Amino acid sequence: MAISSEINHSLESRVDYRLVDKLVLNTLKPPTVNWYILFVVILACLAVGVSCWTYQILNGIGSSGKSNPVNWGVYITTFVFWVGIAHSGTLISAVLYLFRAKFRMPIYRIAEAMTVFAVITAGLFPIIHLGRPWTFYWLLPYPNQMQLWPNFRSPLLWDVFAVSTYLTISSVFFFVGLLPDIATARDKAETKFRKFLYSVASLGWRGDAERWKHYTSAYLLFAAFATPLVVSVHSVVSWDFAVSVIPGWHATIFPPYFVAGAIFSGVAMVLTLLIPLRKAYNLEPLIRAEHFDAMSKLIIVTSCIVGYAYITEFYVAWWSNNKFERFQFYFRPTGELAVNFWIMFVCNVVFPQFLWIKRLRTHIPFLFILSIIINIGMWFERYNIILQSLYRDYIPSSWGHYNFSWVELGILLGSFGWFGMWMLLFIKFFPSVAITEIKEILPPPVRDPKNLKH
Amino acid sequence: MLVGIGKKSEKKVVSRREFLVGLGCASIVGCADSRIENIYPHFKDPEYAIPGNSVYYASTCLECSARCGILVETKEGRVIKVEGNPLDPISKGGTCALGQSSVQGLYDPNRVREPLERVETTDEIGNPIVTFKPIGFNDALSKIATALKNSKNRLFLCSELDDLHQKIYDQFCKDLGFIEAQYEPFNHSDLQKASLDIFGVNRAPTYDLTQAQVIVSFGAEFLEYWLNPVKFTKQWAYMRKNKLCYHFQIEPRQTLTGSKADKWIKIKPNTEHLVALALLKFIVKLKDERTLPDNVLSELNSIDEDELISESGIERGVVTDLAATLLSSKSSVVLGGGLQAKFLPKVLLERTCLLINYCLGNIGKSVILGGGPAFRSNYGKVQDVLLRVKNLKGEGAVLLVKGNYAHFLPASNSISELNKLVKPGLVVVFADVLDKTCEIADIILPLNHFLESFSFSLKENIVSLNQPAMLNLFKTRPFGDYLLALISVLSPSSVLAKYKASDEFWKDEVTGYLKTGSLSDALERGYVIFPNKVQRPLLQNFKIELKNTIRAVNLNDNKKLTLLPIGSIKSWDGRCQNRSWLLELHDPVSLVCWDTWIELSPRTAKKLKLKNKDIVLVSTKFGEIEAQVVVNTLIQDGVLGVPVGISDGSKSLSFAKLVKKANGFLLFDYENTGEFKNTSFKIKKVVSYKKAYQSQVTRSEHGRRIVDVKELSPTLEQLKPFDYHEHHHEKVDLYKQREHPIFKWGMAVDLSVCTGCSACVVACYAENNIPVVGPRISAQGRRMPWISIHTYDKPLSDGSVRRVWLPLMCQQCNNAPCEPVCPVYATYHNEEGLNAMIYNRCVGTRYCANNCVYKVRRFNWFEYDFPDTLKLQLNPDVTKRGVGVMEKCNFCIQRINEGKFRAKKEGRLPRDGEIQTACQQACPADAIVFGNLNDPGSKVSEVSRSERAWKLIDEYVNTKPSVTYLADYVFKI
Repeated sequence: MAISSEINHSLESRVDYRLVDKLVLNTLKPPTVNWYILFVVILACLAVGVSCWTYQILNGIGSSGKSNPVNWGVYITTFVFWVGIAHSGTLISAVLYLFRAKFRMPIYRIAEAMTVFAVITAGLFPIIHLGRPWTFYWLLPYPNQMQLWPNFRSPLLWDVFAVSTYLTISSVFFFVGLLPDIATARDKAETKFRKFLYSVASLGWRGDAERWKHYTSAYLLFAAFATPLVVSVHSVVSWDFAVSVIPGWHATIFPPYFVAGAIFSGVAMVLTLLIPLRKAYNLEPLIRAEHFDAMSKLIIVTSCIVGYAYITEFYVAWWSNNKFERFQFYFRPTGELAVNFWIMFVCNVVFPQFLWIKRLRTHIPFLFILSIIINIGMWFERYNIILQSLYRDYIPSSWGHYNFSWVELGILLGSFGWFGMWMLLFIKFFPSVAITEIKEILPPPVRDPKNLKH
Repeated sequence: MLVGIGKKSEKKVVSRREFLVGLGCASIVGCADSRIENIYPHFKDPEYAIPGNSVYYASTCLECSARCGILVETKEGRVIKVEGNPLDPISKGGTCALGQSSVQGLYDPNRVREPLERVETTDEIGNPIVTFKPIGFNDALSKIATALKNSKNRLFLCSELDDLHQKIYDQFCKDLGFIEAQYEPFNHSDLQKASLDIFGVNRAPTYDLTQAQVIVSFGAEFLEYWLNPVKFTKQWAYMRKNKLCYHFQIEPRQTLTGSKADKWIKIKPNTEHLVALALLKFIVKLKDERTLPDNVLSELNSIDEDELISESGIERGVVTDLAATLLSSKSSVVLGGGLQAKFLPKVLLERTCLLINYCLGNIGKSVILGGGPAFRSNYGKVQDVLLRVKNLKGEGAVLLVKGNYAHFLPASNSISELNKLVKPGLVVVFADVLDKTCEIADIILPLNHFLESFSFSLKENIVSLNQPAMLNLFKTRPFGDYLLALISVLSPSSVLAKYKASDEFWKDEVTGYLKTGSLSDALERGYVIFPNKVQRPLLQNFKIELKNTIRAVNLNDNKKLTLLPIGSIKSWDGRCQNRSWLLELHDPVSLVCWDTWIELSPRTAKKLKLKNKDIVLVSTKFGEIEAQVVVNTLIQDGVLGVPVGISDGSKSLSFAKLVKKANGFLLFDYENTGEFKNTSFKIKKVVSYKKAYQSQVTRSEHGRRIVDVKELSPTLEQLKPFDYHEHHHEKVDLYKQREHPIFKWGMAVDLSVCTGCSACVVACYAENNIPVVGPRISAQGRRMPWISIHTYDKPLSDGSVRRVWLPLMCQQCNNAPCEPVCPVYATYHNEEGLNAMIYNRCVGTRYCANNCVYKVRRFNWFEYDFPDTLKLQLNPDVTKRGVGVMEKCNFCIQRINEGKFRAKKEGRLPRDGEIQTACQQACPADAIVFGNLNDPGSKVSEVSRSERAWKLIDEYVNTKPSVTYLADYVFKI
């Protein structure tokens, strides 16, 4: 409660219901030239990705850089990266909701949108990665004449369930959270199309007490539903590696390590999205320094956990006295791929330590740059785990190498295009900041004596 | 009534009925396939052929001079594979990589498909363009006959021939007055000459290694390509497994043969004969001196053995020990020769070795005089022929060429311009494949592949027969047919004039050899027993001619690097230049595929400032090659090993054209006797588009125990049980092991006899339709071999290094890490203990390959095509895998099923050894054993219980493989 009162207090008295409506609904106004330029750039990225994927399907999965011992590469890296990004959305919206952390209010909407779009993006990658992508549905347990079912022992199948469950729950949660705001947008809609769109999307929300009663309990329920997913999804993703027998993958530390990393990267991604949005739509009164401060603290905590996990991996490799593990962890910082390791380590462990300085925690340009650094670092973390272990496993005569290809780069770029496209469209169609929730912590509007005269 | 042509209705309304009729017609037309398919070679089935079942024809492999007996497997009239003929008394069912690839020689896309005639035109700018246009057989032959009538300069350059064609060829040259020469670069004429000089036997000797407790080899790669490698490997492996047999190898760079020696003695290049001479002198000293003629003894006495030994860079003790070992053993054999001795006056080395054998009393025991093939190779005669061409001065000549002379002749004797010199005569090239030599031809006459023709070869005590296993693929004829046709036109009085075709002559000849039994029985067996009469060896009056040694001694200038020709099992002399299996196969020593390389010792590389995988240009004044550097710890310092045999592609070669400047022969000039002349050379590092690729990152085990070598005292009784804990994980297994009620297939591989010859790899490619991916994709690490030869350098206690070959295939683990991770059950464990793959269920997540601790799963990164005629080789029992699908070794499951069905029909279980995998069948050393592990009496169970048995890294990961490896061992002497 202390936090909430602090936040309550900190919202300036000039922020009232009307301003909130105005500021937030302002984002739904017809797009500016800058938006269009950005959108074209994003679509161009997407086009590159789509053409690369098309080329890859026509030419064979060999268009990517994988080779015989290194059978996974950029695609699985990017899959884990986007699933990780998706995480913090649910953390911020559901977990912090249950913990009554009021600082989540202005940021959770954008975090949730990010979650849903990141999961949509992530979900593409296992398919892109398949040797025969046209058979991806064979991974689903659908009833069939031949009584052929997928293998429930395979972590990849768990992945299918984890990611699809996560997509379902997070989008439902996201939509439910949006309902009152869509209704607000409906009430203020200026064009016929929007009026129609919001009318349908708000499911006839009227804002009466009965609805609010149901709404809040439903929201609580979904928050409770979504909370375990924060832990489970990335744990399952980490089992893709932990369940294998490959040195550097086969580690019990992976689930917590991955979840911490996911939150770390997710919060960074929220910053990357939030800072330009705040600037572009003048949302400074709503998204304020203390929110950034809180997020920076979250980053420090998760960065330390991630750093601790890195060191633990080395320690365990030494302590286990397993030759293969020891070799692997000697290879990582010193071998052929040492650059990847050091990019990861510096970006994820060294740079975030600057946030111990209080001034930097609210220094917006610094935070923006740091968030991008962390995103890069976290991508390299997965790249590092996947490649290094596959480079050097058990039989030295079978060791091999990876040939990074332009097709992979194109598809990686395309994934940002795909994600960015949804994000930009979302900003223009739905309120990016939770109007109703902010209003909850504002003092109720007092009648203005001047108005009374009228 | 057709659509829209209704007379009654003016509006031309189409009724429902008419529409349906139209639709039906349209769909029938639409469904018809306009392509014409000729996929039925057995249009009229032979009586014995059952569709789906293989028909085997016994034949003889004519790839090299060894002439191993083979069985040619055909399915529906197509040759699909070559296997060793187990009945053959010489090769006993073994094959080599080259022999296994001969099917690709048959289906080579570059086969000459019909007689071709040269057409010279010019393009717009006036540059000459040479093309070849088809010509009929009769036209071609009449043109040649006319040219022969008009010319007295009749010249013939020919390769080594089988005995049938040798007879026809000899008669042909005699009748028509040809000046002829036969030559092949990898010949053993020197051995034959030594045998003639010393014993008066004008055939190469052969050796019986089962009669030798001690093998001393001076550079002879008898397990790879020297004389009769398959036979020698069989015998050597037999001795290795069952008897005591020590093997010494003396050479400057370790060959595969050297890697299997108990003691590998590294000498300076071109000093093999010096060590041999010193050895002879020691043996003569220690033994009764009067065994040798006096002049030889006095010659021997005149040499200073210490000088010789110090020249070769080894210590006196090594040679005296060798002499003592040889003298103390009951039986022994000394072999000499090999490619690395290509600079030497090789006759001297061969003579010395034969003399040592004579002194040790090996003649008639381990050395069978006159048992080998008769070699005709004579470089001097080739020079004569070429000199005559150069001296023609516009007279014109008819030059017939058989053999890829353009590939191996040195620049000083190049034949690329011969065409112009011979004019206004005619150059005729007999070829089965469009090679570089074809470029000089006026007329190219297409030859049958040996799998399409009749012939026979004399070897030891048998006449090995060839019969066609299928009808000619193209418009080709046997070599003999052309010669016979020319004889009948030009020399009607000849004894051969009555034969229209070579198979008639063949029949007469073979019937002549046949003492008992019918010809068809002999053909079924593949050979006729015909004791080769060898006269009792008589010591001739001869000299060692020691003065020849001086030249060789001068070669060894310590300051300069020496070029050392080395060979490779993947190329032999280069005749298999367009066989994609061999091109893609990595050389087990250098680990290079598709490319050529040079080998340097670490010290020499450092001196030259070169690193492993650098790309360099090596040039002499004769030619140059672009090669990657391979740093090899087992090569003498100051030596630059250059593989000869790897060939450049000519323009027409579909695969080999990707390999440029690779022909090692072109770096050298030859002596009159065919030895290489020593030449100075330059080496320069270049930047190249090529990506250097070696199949292994490291040869070290990195502190793990991957393979094992045991050092044994030289008594078999002292073979101590090794400390492997085969089942030490069993107690802690969480899950119940799967039961295998009847069969549990397993394999055992004996590393002590695996020579790394890679016959298994090629056999696997042939059997399992494994795609060849090409040089670019290979360099990305995406080759597809289901079994491949891995290698490790294991340090021994005396500081030397033992190079161990590890044939690695799917281990068919019982706790397979690949199985649980597949989300769609594309890989699963079947009830026969196999780790099976369902290709059409695979979606391509590749998790199985990641989780495979042996990394033996192979993924189809692209849709790989089998170009042109190579499609015909595909085994119909095995599916071709498409893009995005994982594949791997499955113990030749199609053969298992075939064997099971056969047994079932006869109401029994398959007998042990009845089902053979392709790799097992091909292995000349019988290193691979396959069978049912559930049967405690089976060979594989027995071998798996050996004291040397262990399972690959099972102790670390508990995968419980079905493949057992037997540790390599060396005798400490």
